[in-house]
Amino acid sequence: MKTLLILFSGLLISITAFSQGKVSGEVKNNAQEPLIGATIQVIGKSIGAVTQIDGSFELLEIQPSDRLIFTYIGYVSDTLSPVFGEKMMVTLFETDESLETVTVRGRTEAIVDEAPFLNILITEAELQKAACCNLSESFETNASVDVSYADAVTGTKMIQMMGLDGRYVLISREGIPNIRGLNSRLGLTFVPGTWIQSIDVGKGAGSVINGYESMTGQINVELFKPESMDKWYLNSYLNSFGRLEINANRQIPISEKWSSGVMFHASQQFLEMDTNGDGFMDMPKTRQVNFLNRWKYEGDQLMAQIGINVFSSESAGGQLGFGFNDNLATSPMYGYEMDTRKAEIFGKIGMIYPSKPTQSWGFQYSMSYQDFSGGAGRRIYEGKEKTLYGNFIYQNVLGSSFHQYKTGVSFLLDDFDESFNSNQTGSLNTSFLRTEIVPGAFFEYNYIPNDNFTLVAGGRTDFHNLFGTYFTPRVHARWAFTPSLTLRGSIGKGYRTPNALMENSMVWVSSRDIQYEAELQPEVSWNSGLSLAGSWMIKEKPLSVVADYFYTQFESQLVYDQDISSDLLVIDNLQGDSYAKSFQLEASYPISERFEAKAAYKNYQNLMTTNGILQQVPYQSQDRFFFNMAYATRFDKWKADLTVNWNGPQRLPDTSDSPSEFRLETESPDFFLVNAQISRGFRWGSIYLGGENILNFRQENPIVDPSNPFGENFDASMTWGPIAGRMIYTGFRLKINN
Amino acid sequence: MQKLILSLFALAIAFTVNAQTNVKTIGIKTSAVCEMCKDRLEKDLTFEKGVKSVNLDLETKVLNIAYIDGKTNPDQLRKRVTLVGYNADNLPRDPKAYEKLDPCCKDGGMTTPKKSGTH
Repeated sequence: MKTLLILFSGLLISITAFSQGKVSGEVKNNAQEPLIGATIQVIGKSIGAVTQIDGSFELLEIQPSDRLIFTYIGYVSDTLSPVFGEKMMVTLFETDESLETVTVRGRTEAIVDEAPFLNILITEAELQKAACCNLSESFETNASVDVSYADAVTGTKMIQMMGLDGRYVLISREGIPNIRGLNSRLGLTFVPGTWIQSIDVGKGAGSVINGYESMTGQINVELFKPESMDKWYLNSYLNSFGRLEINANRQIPISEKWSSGVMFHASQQFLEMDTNGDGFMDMPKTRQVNFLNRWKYEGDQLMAQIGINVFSSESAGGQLGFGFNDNLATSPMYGYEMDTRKAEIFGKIGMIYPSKPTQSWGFQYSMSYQDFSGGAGRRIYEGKEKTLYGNFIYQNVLGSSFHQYKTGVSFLLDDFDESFNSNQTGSLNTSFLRTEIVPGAFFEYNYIPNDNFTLVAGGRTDFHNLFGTYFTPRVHARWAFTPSLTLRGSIGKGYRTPNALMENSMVWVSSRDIQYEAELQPEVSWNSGLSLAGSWMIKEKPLSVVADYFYTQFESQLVYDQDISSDLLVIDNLQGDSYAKSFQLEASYPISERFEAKAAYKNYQNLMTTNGILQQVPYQSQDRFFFNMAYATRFDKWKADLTVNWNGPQRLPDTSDSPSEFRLETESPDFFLVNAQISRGFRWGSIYLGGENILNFRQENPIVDPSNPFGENFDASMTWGPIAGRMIYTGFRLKINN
Repeated sequence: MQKLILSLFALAIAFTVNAQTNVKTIGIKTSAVCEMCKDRLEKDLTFEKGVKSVNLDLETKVLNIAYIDGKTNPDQLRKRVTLVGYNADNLPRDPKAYEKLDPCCKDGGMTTPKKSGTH
């Protein structure tokens, strides 16, 4: 949706009169300095112009249906409709700096602009700093999102924001909620890294337009669009753990108004790695194929796109030798299996009105089916999810552009069919059947009296067929004291429905008996936060500093309690308090033209009532340091990156009732993770070589009692650090555009 | 282990500072006219074998290149400039490459409004 909105806002600048022919105007940057030598081209025609010394330009023989592309080196190109009879005032923004986000750029300062939300844009250049593999690895050079290890068998990586589980973050793909429901744990691995154009990380309760599920933040992933793709793109990746990937993207131009693009991914983890010698694979063998095709229509008023995404993935892990075709329930080996397939149709349609430039509407939709089949040990899981989603957004102004609003209606149908069989009497053997039908309506008001102040006040009401009416108020404000110092504040409510079986898939790989005591109810939280962003010139270079503090208070939560006994996972509704306080201080500075350094300190106080005690959430470092150093020569001929993460001690679940040889310490040790990469650019693309966990740090004995996987002490879920050690990878990217 | 990290970084730096001894510079007069031409030429020549640094002065239209003697030579560099679509000293541009340039980079492209002929 963001893309659509940016496209719209670009188009909205234009005001149509019906005289045709001459178009004139000025091109400036966002500091209102004229851009000299910026080029203007008419799409599909050989008409063009270049701006003069004062940034002015003039074009003749322009039709109202023409589209003008404004380009300037180092700036994001803009495509606009012509304006007749008055000067077009065009503002171009520096590369990587989007209209609606505060950008921490790969190699330059953090730009503080008009966005009322605390957003960080991760660009393609930033994503390439970590070449592997999918969305779960895309946050490696970003300080606001932490990545942790779920357990010692399934290989799942989990993200966290503000120290809270990633399930409280609304992860959307181009504005449409995407990684949620049964897919909230595994879904990140089904978005290949080479498909991602950019990622927006928004901290705090997000806009009401995209729903009520952003409890701690919102991550929006933009994939490559037909018009922004390379004609051909080919990537291959190989790492020392035996993972091989092939990615291919193809742009298919069809006509002036129609375009299409195809993206393909195939990957395989073909080796059984057991670096710690416990007889278990450190990560499962996997094979995945993933395909996306999108069609786009761009008319004078109407814009539409429709796409299809299908994937199939299989995993087989557990004890060495357990294969894809082995049967969990009967195999003498302890195995892990997860097979999933998804098919999705998604799209958008939008309309603008040349005669009413402030007005537009858009509709986004998706339909999907996904099934899961797998389990661990003797536990067998089957799941199916069907989703239907639609969101209609209308935007206009109230009197003047000082008062803007967006309003609309949404609809969500989510159908779940899950079964879980422990194959053991007295244990959890259950099935969940649930259909959620949620129509809703929203209104968001933007007050923008001047460049220094923005207020966004929004609310939405949703009518949940199972849980009643949700009312979701959210307020965001931004106040720039000076051009280099901006304060932001936000407060908002959020809701989500938990999916306890899938969200605890890491506990499947333990002998813990799963007790499900709860009556299903939504999780409800309030999130509020403040942030201060500043930029100061030191030795003629900008030092950017962002400090933020967020507080999340749960009114209702589904608690996954491992503290009651080392033999149990008790799933129950929150009884007592649960809240999270997060503080982050981040600074970035370009040391020289080629070097940029970024550092962050994070402190999380994340307390939840488990076993009747208000205590720190387990597997959560209270203190963390992050450091990134990037080096690049002109045109990225050479690039090198170094990322260091320090994770402070983590509280571990209470194991005092275990036999003494199986007890854990109460805290994990602290540890460093170091990643580095070097890449060399060519006219045709680039090659890269890198290493993850270069210090070869490993959690010793990540599995409790690995020699008796069907015994009563076995537990592979108590994971606080990396299971496998150092990993070296290499690959190439080939781009053909002629 | 710190050694490994340091050496990765040292590697990056080493590639940019090695072999300074036989670096030569050359100025090639081109037919470049705009910022777009500057970017295209500089980017292309950056990835030419033996080239250390490139800078185009739009005022004088002179492309200054530092290169490693022995890995490339002035004739090869001029030839490459023509293949990007620009005249290089007395060497005429490659007509096919010229045709592919954006309108603003073609002859008279800097005068506005501009309606160029064939594309």
